[in-house]
Amino acid sequence: MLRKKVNGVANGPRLSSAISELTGGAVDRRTFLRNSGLAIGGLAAVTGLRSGMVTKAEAQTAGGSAIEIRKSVCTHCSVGCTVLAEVQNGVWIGQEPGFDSPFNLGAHCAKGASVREHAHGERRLKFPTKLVGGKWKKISWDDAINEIGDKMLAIRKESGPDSVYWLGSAKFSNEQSYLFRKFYAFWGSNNGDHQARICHSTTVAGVANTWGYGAMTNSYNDMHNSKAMILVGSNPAEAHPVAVQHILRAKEQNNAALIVCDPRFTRTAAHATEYVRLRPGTDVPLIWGILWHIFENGWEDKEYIRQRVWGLEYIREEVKKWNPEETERVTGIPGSQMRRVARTLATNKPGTIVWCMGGTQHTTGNNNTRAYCILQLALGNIGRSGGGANIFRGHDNVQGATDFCILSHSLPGYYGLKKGSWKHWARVWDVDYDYLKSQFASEKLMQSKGIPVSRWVDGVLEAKDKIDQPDNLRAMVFWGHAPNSQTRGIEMKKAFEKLDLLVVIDPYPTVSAVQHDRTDGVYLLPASTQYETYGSVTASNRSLQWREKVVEPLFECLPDQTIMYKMAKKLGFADEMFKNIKVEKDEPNVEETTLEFNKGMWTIGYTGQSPDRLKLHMANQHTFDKTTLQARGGPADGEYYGLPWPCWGTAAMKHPGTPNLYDPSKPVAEGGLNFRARFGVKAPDKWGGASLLAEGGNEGVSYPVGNELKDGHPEFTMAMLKKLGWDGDLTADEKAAIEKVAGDKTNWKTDLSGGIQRVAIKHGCAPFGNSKARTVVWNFPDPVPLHREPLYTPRRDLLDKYATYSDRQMYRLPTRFASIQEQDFSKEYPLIMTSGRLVEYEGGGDESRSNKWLAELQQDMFVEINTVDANNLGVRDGQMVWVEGAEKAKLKVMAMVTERVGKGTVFLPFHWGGHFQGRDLRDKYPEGADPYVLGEAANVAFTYGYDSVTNMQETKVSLCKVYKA
Amino acid sequence: MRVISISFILAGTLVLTGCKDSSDRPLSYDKGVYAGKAEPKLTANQVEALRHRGALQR
Amino acid sequence: MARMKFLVDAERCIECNACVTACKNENEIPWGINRRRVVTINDGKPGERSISVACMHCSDAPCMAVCPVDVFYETDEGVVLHSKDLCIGCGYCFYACPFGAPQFPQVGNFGSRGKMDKCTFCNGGPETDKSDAEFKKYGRNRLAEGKLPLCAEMCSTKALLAGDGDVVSDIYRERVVSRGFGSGAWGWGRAYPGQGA
Repeated sequence: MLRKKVNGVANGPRLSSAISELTGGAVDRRTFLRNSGLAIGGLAAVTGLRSGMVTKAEAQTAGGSAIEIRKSVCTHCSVGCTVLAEVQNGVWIGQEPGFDSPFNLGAHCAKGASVREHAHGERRLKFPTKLVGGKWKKISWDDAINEIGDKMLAIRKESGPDSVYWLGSAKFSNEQSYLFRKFYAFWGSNNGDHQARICHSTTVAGVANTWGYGAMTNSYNDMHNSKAMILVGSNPAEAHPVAVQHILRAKEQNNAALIVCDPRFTRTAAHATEYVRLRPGTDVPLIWGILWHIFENGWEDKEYIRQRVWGLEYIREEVKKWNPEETERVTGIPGSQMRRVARTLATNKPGTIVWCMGGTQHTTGNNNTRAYCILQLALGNIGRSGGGANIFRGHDNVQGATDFCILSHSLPGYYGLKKGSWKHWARVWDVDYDYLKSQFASEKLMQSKGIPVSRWVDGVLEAKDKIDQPDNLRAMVFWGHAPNSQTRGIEMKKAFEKLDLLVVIDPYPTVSAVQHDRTDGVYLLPASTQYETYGSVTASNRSLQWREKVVEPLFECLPDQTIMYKMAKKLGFADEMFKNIKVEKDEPNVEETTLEFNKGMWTIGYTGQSPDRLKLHMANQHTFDKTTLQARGGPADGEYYGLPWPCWGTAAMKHPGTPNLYDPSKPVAEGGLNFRARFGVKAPDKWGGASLLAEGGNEGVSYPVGNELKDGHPEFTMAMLKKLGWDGDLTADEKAAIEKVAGDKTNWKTDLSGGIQRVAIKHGCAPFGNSKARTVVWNFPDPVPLHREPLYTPRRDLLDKYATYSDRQMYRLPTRFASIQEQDFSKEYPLIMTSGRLVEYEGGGDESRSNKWLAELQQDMFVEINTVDANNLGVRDGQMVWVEGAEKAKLKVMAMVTERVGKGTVFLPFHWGGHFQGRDLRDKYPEGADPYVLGEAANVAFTYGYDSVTNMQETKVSLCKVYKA
Repeated sequence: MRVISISFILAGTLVLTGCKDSSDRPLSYDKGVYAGKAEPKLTANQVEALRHRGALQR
Repeated sequence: MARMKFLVDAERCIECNACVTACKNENEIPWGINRRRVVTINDGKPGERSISVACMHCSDAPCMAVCPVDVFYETDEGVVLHSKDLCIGCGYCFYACPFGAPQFPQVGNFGSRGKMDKCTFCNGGPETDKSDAEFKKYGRNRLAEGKLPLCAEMCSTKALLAGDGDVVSDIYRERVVSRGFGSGAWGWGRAYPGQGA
């Protein structure tokens, strides 16, 4: 291992004395790691780095032509920071702060401040490459598409279309997401998915089933209005740094409480007013423990609950069990602290809840997310400015990619996979339902959920007779998706090696290129980044922003939409798929793609955001208020920035977007709303059979201002319009369009004219009805959210009360729960293992570890281990150790001894890759495309365990042991 | 004789030319005085622009 | 106008390293040289705080006092700059600086020190403003473009402020008032003695 040259970066004695002005000594993580040494092929490679890279100075001298500013959006997290790129002679020469952006006000984190490096792309994949006899060979795009296509068609013939897996990306723009989802529908399979499965799928399922939509209800900016903020399993200081600007504003200006609940004392916790350390996997007890105090003291918002919440009595029964003693026994949180937290939340309203992967990535993820919602409903915080469930999404467009349902269980707009859903999209796509059906192996498979990304390994390796499709997966396409974000590394390697065909389409080779010992049948195709194309992107708050193209695609890279077109052409469905989208030089027109999805996305109001309106917002960012997000004057006067969905009706209707979901204090036409009537109008008899519709007749509470029905109502259909006598408000064209779809049965989701939505809103009504939120999801495995111990739990003593589910068949695959939990791993693997993000890197990290400005800041993969555990194990700070997961996969990483994690818990950041169980895979990368920094991928050691509804992987709690390497 | 003196002068010039430091680095040192290239001054307009810019960080 | 200053609000800094990266990006600083870095104290413990450190452009700068060849000068706006043409790489400034700001790139294989490099407050150096030579030696001259140091302009939480000392201390004072307490602008006492914040 080489020692890194420190080059005068030393902390001189004077600096430490200057720092001691703040408080006493202690070295931080980065200084520790930077000074601890540097094992790197990367550094050697960094020397002489500048070859081939056009520097700002060179570009400036090149022609002296004018510098243009192009406006894009950061491609890392979901805050949606505006990137102002300075471009001269086609070269991206500088980056300026976008002070006008209401989201970031000029700010960036390390990743955002480094995005110009993408346009240098020194470590990018530069041309199509294939593995031949263990060696990477350059090939042409045409040959690549032909060879891949021929192989896929052969697999299709032998095993059916379901044996090819289309793994898409939260890095796609909305247009690319939509086309990708459409693509595998036309290929004839539901075996497609993207990162949302393993980040917020349990949120979407849990939240949408509680009150209608599964997205962040308010916005980062709206947190300025919060008086209390509780963060559970969310560490925005590293994962969403610019969001912290908004959080700290509330903390400073409103004296708002900031409560951080996390097994780790995170960088966010360092700024909290209250830090709650819980045992990983005990989120339901945490929330029920808080609710216990709220119910016990009558702190709940009774009027709000009466008018807007259904089923809370069932929750009360469960919460009663979580008295302070039981809560402390399970979570480890002292009762006095729980009471203080409950009191803070009850007395500081409006308050918001934020959660992230710490809450979602569990076998009980859907229970956790519903529990968070219920806490907020009990406090009356949903549908209020300053309140809400501010669910921070991870990737720049994971909200959009989720909305377009690059998922194995739905068509765009969460329409599902039922026959009616397919028929709706067939109408939008202007193709016959029968044509689509003929692309599938069967109508049954067309309507059955595909395999989720968390399970692709099982799709390859599981015995054929146990899978609910004709054959195993035989080809994998990783289209903008790193494999090191998925668990069970040893089995994954086997799966990689068993495949007939592996295709990676990405700006970087990714770990998919190296984490196996294949010698043939691997293709790497260079995709452009979002800075080399253009289109819309949806931030976490549901606002859409339009990106301009900053530079032309580098090297031989192509934009994803172009690659999709080329593939569709080869696979034989391009003419049908791109029927109504102009294609030039194999590139589908982006604006026409937007306009096409505008025609079909009625469910969630992605219909009003035309390219023209979005471009207008980008050009007039300065006119939008930085708290309300509403334009005050200017060409977009009254509209909300980025037209946050639902932006009802057609673009011509000029709906301003919905800044805060379910907020009845304003008319629906002005962005107001109520809870969605998604679950019928009446509870099942088993659950009391009561009406689910909102009640109370209280304008601005039980129904939005101006709602002419003045209370709860079901969702709108043509028949309902007629019954209300409102059908006369429809134009002749709208009537004709409605008649053509399904006559009276046409509803607000399937009416392609938008007439039903328009008329409902004209009368002050939400098109999706007005219902109560439901706290009991009767169609889920645990209708009332229950605590269940993780599959790999150290607390065997709790299993009599809190055991997991029985094994079951899900998403075409056998899925194990109890059969794993029944085995005791805790003796051999005594430490709890959890994972998370670092600010410098993102996701699998291939892109950010290839960025020299970021790579320099984090050079060694590490494990955080508590001082007590380290001393008991004889492990010293900076020493190399093995972290062995309970399924025996091992990681060789550097020990970071710290109080940040509690005793008995270790933490691993998950962005590394390129080492595998102690083996350095650098020589396996195509030449010049290896990231500067490589290391063990944490998820290799993470274990089996999938959410009972969505098959989210359980990566926030498992077991391991640590020993000296 | 004339030839000799001319060539002597030429040679002398040549030798002395070798002594001339063609770089623009300062040759005299005055303790406490910066003797490098001068920094171009910002104009009043630039300074005013910077004040406005500062307020954007609010 | 008041002198140009940096102000680090430790209550806001979250150690996101945007400042470090922005600096590298803007000035194309090579691997191994850090004009700015973030230092965290009490890492992982209650009381954890971070601060972003670079040349503070001190009034009465100690580097200036100790330099044996007088490479330093102060602009009218109070920015402390130096001439790389004059620097002999002796390293005295590094030992004098309370903030550890001066950096020395390695030249040659025997660890001999190159010319000192440090934060220029994005004001380039003693070459024609916005020239190629200025960029290559000192980095970008944002002040000449009417812009402030990019590290501060891009700070994720607006913890790092830069600009006219009066403007930044006004911004900071507003925060202190709404917080109800002030832990002090880090390093100001040392960098700008007797000028408060």
